[in-house]
Amino acid sequence: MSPIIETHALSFQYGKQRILKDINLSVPENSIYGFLGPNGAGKSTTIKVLLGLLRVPQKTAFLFGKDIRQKRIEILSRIGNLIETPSIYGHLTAFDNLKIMHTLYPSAKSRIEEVLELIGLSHAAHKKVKHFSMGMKQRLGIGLALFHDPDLLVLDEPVNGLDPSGIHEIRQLLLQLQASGKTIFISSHLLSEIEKTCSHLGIIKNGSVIFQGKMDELQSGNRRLVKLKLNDPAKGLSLLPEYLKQEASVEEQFLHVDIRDDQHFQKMIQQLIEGGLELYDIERHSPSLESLFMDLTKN
Amino acid sequence: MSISFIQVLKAEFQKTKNIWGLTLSLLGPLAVLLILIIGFINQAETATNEVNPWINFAKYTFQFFFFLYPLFAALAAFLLSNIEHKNRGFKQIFTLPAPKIYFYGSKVLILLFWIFSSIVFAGIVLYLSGQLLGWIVPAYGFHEYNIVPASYVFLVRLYITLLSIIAIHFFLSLYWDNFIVTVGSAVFLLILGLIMYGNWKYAYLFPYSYSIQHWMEYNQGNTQIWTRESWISLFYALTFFSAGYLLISKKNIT
Repeated sequence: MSPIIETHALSFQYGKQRILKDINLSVPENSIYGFLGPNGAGKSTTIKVLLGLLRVPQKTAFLFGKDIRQKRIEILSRIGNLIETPSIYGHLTAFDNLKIMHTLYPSAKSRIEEVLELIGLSHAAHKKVKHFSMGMKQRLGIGLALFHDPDLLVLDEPVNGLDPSGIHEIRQLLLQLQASGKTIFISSHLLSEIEKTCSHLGIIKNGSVIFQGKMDELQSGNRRLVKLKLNDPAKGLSLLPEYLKQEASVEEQFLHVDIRDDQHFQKMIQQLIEGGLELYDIERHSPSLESLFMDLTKN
Repeated sequence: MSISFIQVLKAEFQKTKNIWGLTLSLLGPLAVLLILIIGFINQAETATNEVNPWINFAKYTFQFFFFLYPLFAALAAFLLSNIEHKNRGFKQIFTLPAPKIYFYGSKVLILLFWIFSSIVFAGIVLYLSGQLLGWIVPAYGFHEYNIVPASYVFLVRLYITLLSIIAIHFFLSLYWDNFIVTVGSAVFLLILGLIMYGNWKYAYLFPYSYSIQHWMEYNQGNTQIWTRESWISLFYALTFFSAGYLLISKKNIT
């Protein structure tokens, strides 16, 4: 199955500043692809390139197998998007905003009510959008992106300003959309949300992609936290090699060690046993996306 | 599935709902004529039906229009592009599956239609106001004479001379999201146009002089529609509308 989004050595610069450097993205069909990176890493720029808002050389960005420079209109007809703050008309009501989409994408009249229901704004349909809260605007932005039932949704910070229940609803909605065959490309600062929602991940730093793959590929790497139950954890800590001591701690009867390599683990166990300690139990924890992200993006 | 021009035009019209500028461009001529009706009623004791009262009535009306309409044009251009600036709409419309020219062309058509409908409305209100004065102060003789066709010619030529100002200020407001730059400059340039008219031999190249020139010529009985300035105004309109499209088509959304 060919990827829905594919970039080949994609680069972009504003003036002399190089924002994107040879990016090779590959977003599989029907995935929820989380696109992460620190502020200023190039996430929004990448999204704008994918939507044809910024011009890049031909044959560097492909969506649905077609070059965005050559088939922009055809590609855009299959995409719904929400970039940063939603583009909605404050002097109009939520209903009027969706009616504009209805004019652009003719469908059954009931589609407007259907979308209002989906985004939970039926009660505020006839209220002017300028009086909406940030969260309500965000929901409407998502509603506008979904209106024409696109194959690909590109969402930049879609849960901005939403309260926990709103975030939960959007998460459920995204999973539901994925189940119905859509592909979702999502950028967010909320790593816990990405962790709960995404099947694939791309991490960008200083304009370059530093990780790309399935979520579990990142989490099932060699790095893990191990919790060892020992008869004397403090002695255990003193027996550890220096490079492991820095990442280790003692809590009650347990010794916590951050392992980055299978050899480290083997060496540590050997030293503890040779030091005369009794080992009763080992618990393994996968690191959170947050700690992996911090690790990958720290200088 | 791409979007047709008619769909874009309809959607662009829907966006103009609740924009007060459109109401203002209709209320403006209404307010001017209301003031004139009150003025004519106050002067009722000097009323005479020896000359056609429509001539003076139109003259006084157009004295306001030649200054107000260029400002309306600049304001309307600002309000129309501000719909997108204010709501960060450019990034939305540029990700819709339609050529950028459809959105730009629709906005230009709507802008031209706004000013056109305001001028047509002004013509209708002018006629109705005269009729009303005919009922209130019959001594003026509004019902004994017909409105002079030259009044309508004035409005047609006013529209043509406004085309250049509409295009220039639409271009400016696409580039700058700033009321002072786009509408404030219109006030300044219009005053400059008043000063230049009659004092600078190349004033015919300066579109902000056209409406005062037009009004002066109307007072002197010149009722030509197609003058040198009308053609130059059309030239400016074409140039700046084209430049506006180039600006939009090359615009990077940052």
